[in-house]
Amino acid sequence: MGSFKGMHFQSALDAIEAIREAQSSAGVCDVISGVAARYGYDHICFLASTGVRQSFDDKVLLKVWPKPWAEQYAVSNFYEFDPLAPRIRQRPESFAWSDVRPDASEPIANTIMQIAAIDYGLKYGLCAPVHGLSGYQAGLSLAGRDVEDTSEAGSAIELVTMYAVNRLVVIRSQLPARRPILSRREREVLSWVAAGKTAWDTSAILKISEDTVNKTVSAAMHKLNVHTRAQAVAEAIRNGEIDL
Amino acid sequence: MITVVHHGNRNHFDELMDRQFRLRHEVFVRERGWTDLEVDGIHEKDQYDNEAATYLIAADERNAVAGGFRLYPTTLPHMLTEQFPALVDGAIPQRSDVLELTRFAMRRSERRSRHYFELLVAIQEYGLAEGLSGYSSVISPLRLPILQGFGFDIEPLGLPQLIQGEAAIAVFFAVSEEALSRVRKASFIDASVLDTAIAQRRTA
Repeated sequence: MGSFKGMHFQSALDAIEAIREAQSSAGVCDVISGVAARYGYDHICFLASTGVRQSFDDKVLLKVWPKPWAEQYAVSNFYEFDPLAPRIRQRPESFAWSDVRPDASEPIANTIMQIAAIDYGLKYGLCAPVHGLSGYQAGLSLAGRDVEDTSEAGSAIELVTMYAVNRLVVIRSQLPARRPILSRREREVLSWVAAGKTAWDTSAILKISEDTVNKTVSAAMHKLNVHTRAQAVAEAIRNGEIDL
Repeated sequence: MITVVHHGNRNHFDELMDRQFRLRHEVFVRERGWTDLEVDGIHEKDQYDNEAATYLIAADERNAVAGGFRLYPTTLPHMLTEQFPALVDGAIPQRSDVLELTRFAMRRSERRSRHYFELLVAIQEYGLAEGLSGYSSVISPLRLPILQGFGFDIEPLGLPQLIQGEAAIAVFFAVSEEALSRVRKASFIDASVLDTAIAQRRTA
């Protein structure tokens, strides 16, 4: 099979094999970087959802962006308005940036696309979302000036991204669980906070005093190094101490 | 429970098979619009619905069919060799221990049900029981991460391509004890899902 198609498939298979052998998420990201480079993409953003509301930086598995663009993106809070982000979360199909045309009612989204294209020379971009059993899992967004934008190249990237995300999930599941820092009672009380119960409700449910509930929440907040109950819940979920 | 219907026991399952062909019509002709598979406005059948085919069917106590799929020997002309050779980049697997899995259909209301999970477990369980190394199949690439999430080992046989406007990829699902236990774990099914009464009937 000496055709172009054979070449793209072979490079996808090689990447999938390397992903299978990767023992860390950094190893998986190296393979993604290699594939991106092979097709001429020099801007890479690989995001994963961990199922909790988290900041842009917390979602990033891999980001290869020139410093000025990364700074502008962070300082101007582009993520909030980036038209690619919601599409990656909402729809599983891969797409080219050129398919995304924010309408006039979204001036900031339009501006971001224009700044990327004109000021940073990101002429062509490709996004490969991965949606699994419970919906959106991860997304790879690539961009560059002089890329190979054939459908075969896009298919190869899409396929490799699926295997990368699956491997990351497996690697994550093999990591030793983070050592819990909360006591059993603290986890119990925070679970009820997460469920929207007031201190009074929780005291009735657990048959302890309201004062004890409040003190337990305060102790948990202190241990988690946060300042509000909402932050405590978010942090406890992220650490795997409580489930939703 | 999953009922296995093949040439040897087919005459016991006329009603179940009829319901299976009706469900396929509902899913593939009416819902997905594959109108070239239209037979009589009620059933969906093609040239591979013959004596060589085996069907794994999920039905409830009242024989209502929730879903199912079809298996076909890859040593005979099959969909990958006849309809979709372009999806395979390299050799098309054609071995006695590889079956082609086609027409996976679920009733709309059953798409995340126990019947669906049982069919996924049955892919591995039947494969092990029959000594298969795996199955070839054409699926939507969007299903690939979902099936991986259930614990399937999937090898691509080519790159995803558009076939009449629908994205498709040819894949090989490997059968193994490890995959079976992963799929069991992901679908919370510990017990065997294959109807053993049927297996006995086959050897009788």
